[in-house]
Amino acid sequence: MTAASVPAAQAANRPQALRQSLQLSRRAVSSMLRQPQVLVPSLFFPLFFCALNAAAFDRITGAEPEFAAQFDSFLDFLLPATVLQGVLFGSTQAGTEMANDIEIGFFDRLLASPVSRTSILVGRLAGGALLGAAQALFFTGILTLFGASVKGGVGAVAVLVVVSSLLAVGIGGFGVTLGIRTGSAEAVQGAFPLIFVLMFTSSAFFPRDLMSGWYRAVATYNPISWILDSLRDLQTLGWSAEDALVAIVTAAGLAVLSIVVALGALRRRLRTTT
Amino acid sequence: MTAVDDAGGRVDLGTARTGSMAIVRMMVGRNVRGIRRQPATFIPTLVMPIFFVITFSGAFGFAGRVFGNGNALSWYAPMAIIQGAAFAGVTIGFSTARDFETGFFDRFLLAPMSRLTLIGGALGAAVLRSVFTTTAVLVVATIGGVAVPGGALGVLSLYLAALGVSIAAALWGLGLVYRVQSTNVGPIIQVGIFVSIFLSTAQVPIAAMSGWLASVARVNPMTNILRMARAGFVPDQIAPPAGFGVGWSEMWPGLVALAGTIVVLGLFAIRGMRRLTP
Repeated sequence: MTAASVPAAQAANRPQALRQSLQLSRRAVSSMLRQPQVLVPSLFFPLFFCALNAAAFDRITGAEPEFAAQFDSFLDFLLPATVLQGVLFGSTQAGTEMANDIEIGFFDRLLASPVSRTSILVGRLAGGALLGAAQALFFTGILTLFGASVKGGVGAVAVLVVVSSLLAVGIGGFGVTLGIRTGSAEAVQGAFPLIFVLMFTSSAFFPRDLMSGWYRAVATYNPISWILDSLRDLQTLGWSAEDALVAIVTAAGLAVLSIVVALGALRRRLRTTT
Repeated sequence: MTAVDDAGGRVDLGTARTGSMAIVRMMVGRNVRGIRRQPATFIPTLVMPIFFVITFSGAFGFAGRVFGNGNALSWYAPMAIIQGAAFAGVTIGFSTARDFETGFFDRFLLAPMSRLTLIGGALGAAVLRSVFTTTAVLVVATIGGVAVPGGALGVLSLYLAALGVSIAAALWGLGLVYRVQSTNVGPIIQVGIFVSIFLSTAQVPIAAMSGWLASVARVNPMTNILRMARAGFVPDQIAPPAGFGVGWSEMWPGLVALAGTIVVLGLFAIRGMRRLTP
């Protein structure tokens, strides 16, 4: 193959890479469906904490005029946070599965096959994105049944689904990076508390307007707060293109960043193992 | 007879001349050495309670009046200490599960010593770990501005509650591990602890709760244990003592709750141990 024909060959391989990505995505999804016990924590814990916090903090926050002006109840406030919490918990699974593939040698078999290297990554993250979208619909459905409202209508729900998928890719990408670099599922699971920290230092569970001091400053600069605050405005104040854009662009930025980092980790691993 | 595990921990498994207390001391020593060799297994136990104190009090500083003395940190610090003590107890269950998986626990079972000594050693280690986490979180909370108007008795009741909770959590973890003999039981152990702590007055007083949570918190023994732990920090909301101090009315329900929980979970662990050696 001459140097001039390389771009042409890459262009010809593009549909193949897409097919491979789809096949690997399907594998990632069926692997999740075969182990429903792995999904249980990412469904149970967000609902448990939502029910708990709604009952614990409804009165306290309801007595604050600033809060009561925007939210009918603490359940309303918690809806986007519950969705994102589920997505964040679930998206670590992509990293764990990648590390498992390395541990059992499947990753090496993929490398030995003529599969596109990018497809390995895309396939794994696409599975997480699908799970994120399903979680968004699941949690919104359940919480709506219990009285939460979505004043932004179908548009707000659509944004919530898109943001959940992007965030699953974003956080999943960092998990995959860790999985590729360590090759240890235990190490990926060990990073789980960092997600807890990311959520607790945002406006996920506590209204930012009522925070004070350094805690408020940290929450203000946490990108998860930017996403959540925009989603909350969409949900409780009604449709706004600006809010939708802020939420989607922030989540997409995280997704792009994590894919770049994960690709770097993949390249480094390929260099050291071949 | 001496056994050496994979991590190099050495335990004299007892001869005819080695008493139960000596074996308990050796098991506690092995546990402490384990922390030194693998600090990653202990650090979350210490970091998470401190993190909870900071976040909860930072988030709910605006609602200080709800917590009795105008300071949310005084409400959340004892809760985080109890949580840290529970985690300290739970990690004993995890390390025992690892002993099962590496086969080291089988060597304990072959040794000529009382099976209760094995539980006693694990509980000793849990207590030691919880003393460490309790002291560390208390120091951080004090630096953060928490006062103890209840004085020495307030600190004592906090330590008593924390040590009791660490024993109860360790018994819960051991009971499950003796039955499942695998680290896979970890999530179940943690869920049990999380649920028992959070379905109580961990986050807010009963008066501030709404709906189902208040009914559950009223019957959850953890509510009385937390009331005892907080006795020296915030005025009691059910039966305030005369002046500010630790009253017997705040102490005895916590002591009864702790004793009852330890007895029930102790039987659970002992029955689990008996299944191992029919």
